[in-house]
Amino acid sequence: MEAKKRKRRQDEEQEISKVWLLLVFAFVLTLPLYSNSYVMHIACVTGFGIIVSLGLNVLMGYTGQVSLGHAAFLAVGAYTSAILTYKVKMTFWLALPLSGAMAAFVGLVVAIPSLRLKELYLAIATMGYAFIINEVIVYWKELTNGTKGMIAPTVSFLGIELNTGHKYYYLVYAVVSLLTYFAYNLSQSKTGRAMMAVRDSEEAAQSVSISLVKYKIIAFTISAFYTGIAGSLYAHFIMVISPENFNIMLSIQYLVMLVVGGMGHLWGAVLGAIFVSLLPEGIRLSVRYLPSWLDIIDLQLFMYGLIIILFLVFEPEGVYARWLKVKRYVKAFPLSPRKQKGERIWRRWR
Amino acid sequence: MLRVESIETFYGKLKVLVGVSLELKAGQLVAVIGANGAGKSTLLRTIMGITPAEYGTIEFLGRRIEEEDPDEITRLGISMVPEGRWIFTDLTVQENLDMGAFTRSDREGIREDFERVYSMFPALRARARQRAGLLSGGEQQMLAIGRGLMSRPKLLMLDEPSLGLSPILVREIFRIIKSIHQQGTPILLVEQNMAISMTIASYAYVMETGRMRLSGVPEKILADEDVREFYLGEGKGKYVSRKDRWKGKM
Amino acid sequence: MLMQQVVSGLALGSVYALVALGFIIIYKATDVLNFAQGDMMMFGAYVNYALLVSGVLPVPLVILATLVSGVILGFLIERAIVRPMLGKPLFATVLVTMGVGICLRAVAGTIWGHQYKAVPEILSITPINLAFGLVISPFHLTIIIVSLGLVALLSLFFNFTRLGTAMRAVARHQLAAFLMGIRVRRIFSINWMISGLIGALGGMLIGPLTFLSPDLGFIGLNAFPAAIIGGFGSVPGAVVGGLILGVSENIAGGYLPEGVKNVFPWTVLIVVLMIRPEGFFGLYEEKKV
Repeated sequence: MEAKKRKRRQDEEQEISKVWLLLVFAFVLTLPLYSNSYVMHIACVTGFGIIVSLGLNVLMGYTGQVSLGHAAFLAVGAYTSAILTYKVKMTFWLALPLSGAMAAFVGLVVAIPSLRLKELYLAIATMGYAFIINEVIVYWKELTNGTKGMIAPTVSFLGIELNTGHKYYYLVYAVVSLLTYFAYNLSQSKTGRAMMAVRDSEEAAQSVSISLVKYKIIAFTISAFYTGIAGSLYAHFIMVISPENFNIMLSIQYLVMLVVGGMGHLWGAVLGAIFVSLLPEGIRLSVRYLPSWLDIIDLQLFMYGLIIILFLVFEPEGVYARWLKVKRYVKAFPLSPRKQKGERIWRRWR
Repeated sequence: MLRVESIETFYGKLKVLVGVSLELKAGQLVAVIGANGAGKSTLLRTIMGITPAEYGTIEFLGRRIEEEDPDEITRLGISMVPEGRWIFTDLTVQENLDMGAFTRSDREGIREDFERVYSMFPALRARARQRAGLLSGGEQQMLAIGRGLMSRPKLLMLDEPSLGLSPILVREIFRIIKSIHQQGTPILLVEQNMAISMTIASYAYVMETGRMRLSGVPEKILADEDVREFYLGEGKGKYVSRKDRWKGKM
Repeated sequence: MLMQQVVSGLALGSVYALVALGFIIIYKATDVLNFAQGDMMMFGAYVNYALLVSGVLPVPLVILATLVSGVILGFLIERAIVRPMLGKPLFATVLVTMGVGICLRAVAGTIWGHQYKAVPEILSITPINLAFGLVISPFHLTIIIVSLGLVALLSLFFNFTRLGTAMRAVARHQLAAFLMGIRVRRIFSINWMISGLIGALGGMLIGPLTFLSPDLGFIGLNAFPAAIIGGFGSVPGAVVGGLILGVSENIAGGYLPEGVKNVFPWTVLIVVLMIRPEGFFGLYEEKKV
């Protein structure tokens, strides 16, 4: 009897999720119809963030490996795409997956020495990779034009040039949808579960013959692939790329996306990316109401830092985790869910 | 001097201590016996403030302590020797003992206590300047107890001191615990080993799955039929009915 | 020529060692990686600069005031921002320090602007002659002496005082330290204050080596490799790591193609980690809860 009731509730929940999904899809599809180019611009940038965030989530959220250097993969994807389309005159539609592949390859290369590293050391090593890759881009002038920057030409689809925000938007979000779908499948698949096992306990995973090496490498590769794709899309959007675009602050930004949104959850990654991408605009808008003697750039920077701090102090598990808690609360209504006095076991990070 | 009343402690949603009460009078050595998972270690940690109780009260020397932090409780005079010992492995034996005396500032008294601990545990004196991490299991247990004594506690709590030790060492450790008690320190002892604990206890409690099942002087405990069957391995009564009766006892 | 580079490299290495030390002290006690360490150094450098330029205080008091400002900064950060994070996921705390670093940079940019500034020299610039025909500038010599002196002082503190021993105890086993009656929160505070002091000192020493800008903190990131190469657990490790890094970076700068010098610390780090995932002094042992 209980089982039947539970099954029915599960089916109901699935129906509700489908409705949500449909609504989101409808929103995404129709947004360009009533937005100006400014909004489209932001939407595209957000789209790039979502892709990277999903990728980073595969590495950090599912597999528990820290990366502080993801901007480097973005750079690899962007530069590969620019070089292929501008110098080799390849079509974008071939360059896009190749950029992802190139980034994935770099991810593989980077993963191999990183397999034995523990959390802290891994984080710093990934920072190192990012610095090194950045320097390589700066100094390999014959290939990348160094600090002068490279051009990434506009993309054409069936003869139409995607040269406005509105048009590019559809490209971006087509890719976003596809990649989100893949990420979802991954999380439900055997590979995804193996990754999560690695995250939760390496010893336990090994004891059920899950190969740490295999899954860490897979995670790095997929994560880099996603970011490379985002890089390519990004390059053809802003059309001129240079090494300064891909600095450590960007890597940190991606990290913040995951933490703010909720690591380990697909929707957490998406929400985090949306939040962090919209943040600079939000700050810029609110700054107009403040006295003008405050230097704008630094104020924005300060607010960015402050919001990171506040968010982490009050909601360290991310927006999505809070959303789940709210859902549980609402479900238990009108009874309040069992109050638990915070367990003051002085815990350490996993 | 210590009164625990109806405390309930949770690990997340799981209730691990259910209405547990206990009393320790001045000068006593009270033993709490139970199998693995009975909740005895949790009891000590709750008293110590490491895993605070959600409900119930704890009173020590007339003062309510259930809301206090562990370091405050140590300063009030309760010293705990944890299961697993928690030795500072990087520090030397001497430094470990010194940390035990952290709450004190009387140089003379501390020096006396160093002597006292070293004469109680000669093996430690030999290794005074060695890194504590290099000590054997038995020596680490001695160090942990010695460290617990360095604060001249008003109440010493020991969490499963026999764990992981050979029978000879266990007898030795318990001989020392008894002498500590006789020298005037009240002790709250949590143990799995009922037999040896009953030889030194003034009063005892038996805990099972988070509840106090039985309490009394050691003779009474040892005479109890169910204790004899489940903890001492004696008697062969009908298994089912005994188990039921035991379950019925609250 | 080579020896000369080694000598100048030691000065750079000493600064790296100092910043690395600042990281390590906080990390050992609290498991928190203080990403704001470099920016704390930057802030100290600016305070130092501002006081020198204004001429309000005599030089010795400027030094004192800068150090005090570092201590206060460390204290404030711990109290206002890190302490509320107690019990929260560690990862979040580390990110919070990043946020703090960002804010510090923004504040510095607001107060002092983004143009590069040069710190006035307070020592003479005539090089001192050492043996074997090597020379060293008085400032570099000061850096080395001060840094190594501080490290020695801290070593003495940690090993021979009760408070220092208590800090080591907290670093090894926080929960057990509570049971000793040690006020662990106070120890955290002191740790951060010491790191703040070290940060300010580092800022004073590195300021004249390069130009001041709010992005000076990024150099602090270069100290990460130093800390790890030395093994992220020990004071001597930080020093050795820092010195090795400084010297080799200087030597490499002379012989290797341009661009490699910038990422040299990181390349060395990765190579070291490939050989020995725990760092040279490999003190990444499992810590108890």
